[in-house]
Amino acid sequence: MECVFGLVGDGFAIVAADTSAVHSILVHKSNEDKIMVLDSHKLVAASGEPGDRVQFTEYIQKNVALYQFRNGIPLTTPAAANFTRGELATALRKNPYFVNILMAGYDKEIGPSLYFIDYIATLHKVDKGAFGYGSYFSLSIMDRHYHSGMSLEEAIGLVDKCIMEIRSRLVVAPPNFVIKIVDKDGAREYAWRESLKDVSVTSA
Amino acid sequence: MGRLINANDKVNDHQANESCAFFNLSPLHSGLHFSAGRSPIPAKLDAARRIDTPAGSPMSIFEYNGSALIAMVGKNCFAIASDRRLGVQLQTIATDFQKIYKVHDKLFLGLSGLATDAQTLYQRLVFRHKLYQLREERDMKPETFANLVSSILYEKRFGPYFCQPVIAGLGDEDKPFICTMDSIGAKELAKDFVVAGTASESLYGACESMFKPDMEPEELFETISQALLSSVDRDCLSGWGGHVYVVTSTEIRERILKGRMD
Repeated sequence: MECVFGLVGDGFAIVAADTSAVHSILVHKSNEDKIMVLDSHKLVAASGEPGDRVQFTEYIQKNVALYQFRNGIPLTTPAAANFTRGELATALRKNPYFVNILMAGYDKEIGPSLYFIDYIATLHKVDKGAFGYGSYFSLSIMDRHYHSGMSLEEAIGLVDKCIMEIRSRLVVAPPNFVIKIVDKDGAREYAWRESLKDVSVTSA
Repeated sequence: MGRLINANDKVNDHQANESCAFFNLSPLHSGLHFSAGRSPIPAKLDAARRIDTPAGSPMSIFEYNGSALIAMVGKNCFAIASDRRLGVQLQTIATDFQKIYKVHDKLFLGLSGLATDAQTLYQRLVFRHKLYQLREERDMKPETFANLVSSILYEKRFGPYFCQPVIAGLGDEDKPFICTMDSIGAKELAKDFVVAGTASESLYGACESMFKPDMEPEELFETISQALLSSVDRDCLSGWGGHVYVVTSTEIRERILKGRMD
């Protein structure tokens, strides 16, 4: 079941998410990318209702892009996070989206940051955060091993620790994860952690 | 084009009044409970506010994030304090969450209850206070601000913000004013102290036995801090240190408390 988590290191923020598309007891695919590159320096890792997740993150992405076209300057990460919260909060009492979001970004003046936004639109700036069943394990692992100003190697090591813990302790553990990173050079995919490849269909 | 600008500018203003059908949306807490219980709101309104907990017992939506808030009156001064936990039911998300907001130098607002509604409410109140400042070229009196909070809450009478606010400020001639209200804006004024949040029962006891009238700022700080720390130790949903403001006519003293950090 869904596992999304992230942390802030020295000059970068990192987010990881499982890549399983699950319905009831059925796994539809195991290479579904749940981390959107919002713009050049922002990442949005989302979990929740699949339809809402895709619809809402795209809605945010397009509106953040629109803001940049109109005003010539991009939204900062806190601005984008507050905008996202505003949208979720307005929707909350009308037609709510069931999406939990970890927003990571890098701004020249601020540095790396990570925002926790849950589906009822609680916004909080965090150093480390997690959603889903994986959070019971990843939060504990991060509480134990996280420290401020982690190097990239240390952070990746910690992310791998979290993934290992989820794989070994969670009954409904997803097989594959994607890790993305954002730093001064922009937002990008960092690595996949796959224990199961999608098999291509061989011709009969 | 209109959608973005409008949605961005006004936060949660003038919405439809559907209450909280959305709690049904989550597959994790499906099923609403229709039972009455202790709550800072009238029993009639209490119906659709209960959600399932991992343990299976229904929990009020006011207890979803957990909070503890107090305000106390001293001699020409007041103090307001809160815990620092942000939780989602029994899981702790952060231990540096702000529940007390400064409205102006002599007026503070604490918001307990559902964190998302606290944030929305705070944004709306700051907006209204800024408009007041522009129009009147002065800060709002605590009594006026309490009336504003009350009316903003009552606007949502049938789909309320799930918050219990605490207001503390210095009024005319620096006379301290404290007040709390329920989620639909019924004010409760007090001469000594007010409490709110999931730790409110234990806070009442602690304040009742520790409070003395006309305390000086230093003693007031000690009293409010001890009351807060001893109370949150008896509440699972609040704690992780505290945040205390002691306000006199000349200065604001802000202190972060360490408590049982578990």
